[in-house]
Amino acid sequence: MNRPLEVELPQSDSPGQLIAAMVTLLRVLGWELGGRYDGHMRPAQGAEWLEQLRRARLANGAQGIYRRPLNLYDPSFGLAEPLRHSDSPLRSCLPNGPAFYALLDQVLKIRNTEQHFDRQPSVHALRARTRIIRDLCVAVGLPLVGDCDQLLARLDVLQQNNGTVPGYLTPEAAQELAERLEKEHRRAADRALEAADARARLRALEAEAAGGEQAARQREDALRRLQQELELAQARREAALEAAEAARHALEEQETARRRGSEDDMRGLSPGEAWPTAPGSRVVRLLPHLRDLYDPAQIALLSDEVGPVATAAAERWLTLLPHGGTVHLTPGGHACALIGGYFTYLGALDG
Amino acid sequence: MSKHRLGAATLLVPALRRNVEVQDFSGIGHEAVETPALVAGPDGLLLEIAHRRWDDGGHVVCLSRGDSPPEYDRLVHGVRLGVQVRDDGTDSCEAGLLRWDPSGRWGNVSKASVDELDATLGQALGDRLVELGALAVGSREEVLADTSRRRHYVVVTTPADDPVVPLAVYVVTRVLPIVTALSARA
Repeated sequence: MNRPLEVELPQSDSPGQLIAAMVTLLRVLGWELGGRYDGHMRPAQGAEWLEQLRRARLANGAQGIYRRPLNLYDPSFGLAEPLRHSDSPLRSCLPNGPAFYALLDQVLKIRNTEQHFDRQPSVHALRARTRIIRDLCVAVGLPLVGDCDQLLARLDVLQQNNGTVPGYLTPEAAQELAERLEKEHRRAADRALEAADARARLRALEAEAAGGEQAARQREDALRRLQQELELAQARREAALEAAEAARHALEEQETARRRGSEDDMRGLSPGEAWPTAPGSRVVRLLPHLRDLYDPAQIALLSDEVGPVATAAAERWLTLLPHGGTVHLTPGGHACALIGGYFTYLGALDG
Repeated sequence: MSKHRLGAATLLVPALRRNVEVQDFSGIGHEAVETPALVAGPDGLLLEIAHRRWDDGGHVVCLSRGDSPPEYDRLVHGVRLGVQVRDDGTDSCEAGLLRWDPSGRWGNVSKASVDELDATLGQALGDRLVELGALAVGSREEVLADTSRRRHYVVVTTPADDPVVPLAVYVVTRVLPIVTALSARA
């Protein structure tokens, strides 16, 4: 079954980014443990096994989470149930031995301390806790181990680059650039108004051109001054427009760098290898007979949008996914699909 | 690619033609020109269908239902739409309607009245097919001067090399009855 969410790889060492990484890591851990338990219990005990287990625990005087219907995917349940009950039926699909249960205990403590906001998040703490969770995933054989490796690699990148992924636009920097852009636009609009006003006064004076000599001289002087004002206003307006253009360009550059940074995860990957990060958000359908890609959001074939590269990509991807299926595309055109229960790299749209 | 709205479904016909070997209703092999197409619609409906035309005949078939509801399996395993080649250089196909039984998840095609076909599409089928390129839509008696027992069957004639109208007839007469049944169930 598809995961409902993916582990967030932090773009910076800001508390929000680190918290997001840890919370999603724990949630996916709960999801994968729950899936493991359900796959083990359902064939023998039926679909109601979880509720039956809860009632059995209540009958034996258990409290806490057993007082209400259990959430199979809550890591609190997935970790505590086999840890605290030596008769837990879930133990039969987990490794044996005290070392494993010590590990389970450590991860449960991580879950609890995170839940109770124990301290200010840090790269160091996140790394240490991710390593422990990774050890548990290795012992149980959960796919989350790949995500832990990704997260650890990302934390190394953060540490080597002063707390940000190269090319990542911090929210503060994005805000500053956006404000600069707005300011320059406002300034350009003011200058345009000044120029329009000067032009109007110029036209009025020109209309009064006929008249006495002295008056004519005065008007000529006024005319010259106005022309100078007009030239100045136009020059200012052009300068403001250039500044606005520079600010817009800087924003675009930052966005491109950010996108390139996320696409770096795919560099060096070959089709068939495990997908290293969250699947792309654009979902299309690989069609085995049309040998094309269908975009349900547009109700259109992708070949209609991007031309023959779509059909060429479909041909290549059908070697990995011969019966077609759902394909996730990143903004850079990298594709992955669930093959054998794992997200697998299919290749890039443009080959 | 051309895109055509047909009731609750959308028919997408790419400009793709390819040569394939096919078997007709009698199991006789033919070298045909295939025009694949896609039908999208509610409840995850996504069918790959194809118009295939050989020298003296043709048909429209469903190639795959993908992840569409299992009811559409019926189309993958039968109820093809036959295309007849006429002496005057046109093609024709009969617009019989799939009578879908939701409880048995099964149905077969039988004669349909114009009113039934219009109700299935939600508009006048004749007008819609003429918009798509049909030459004539009506009873076999009216369109082909047929006096046989089939003279009251609705028939559609098209230019010989046009796959869009037979594909549209397939969508209206085979796909929409299941779409309607599934929507009613929901």
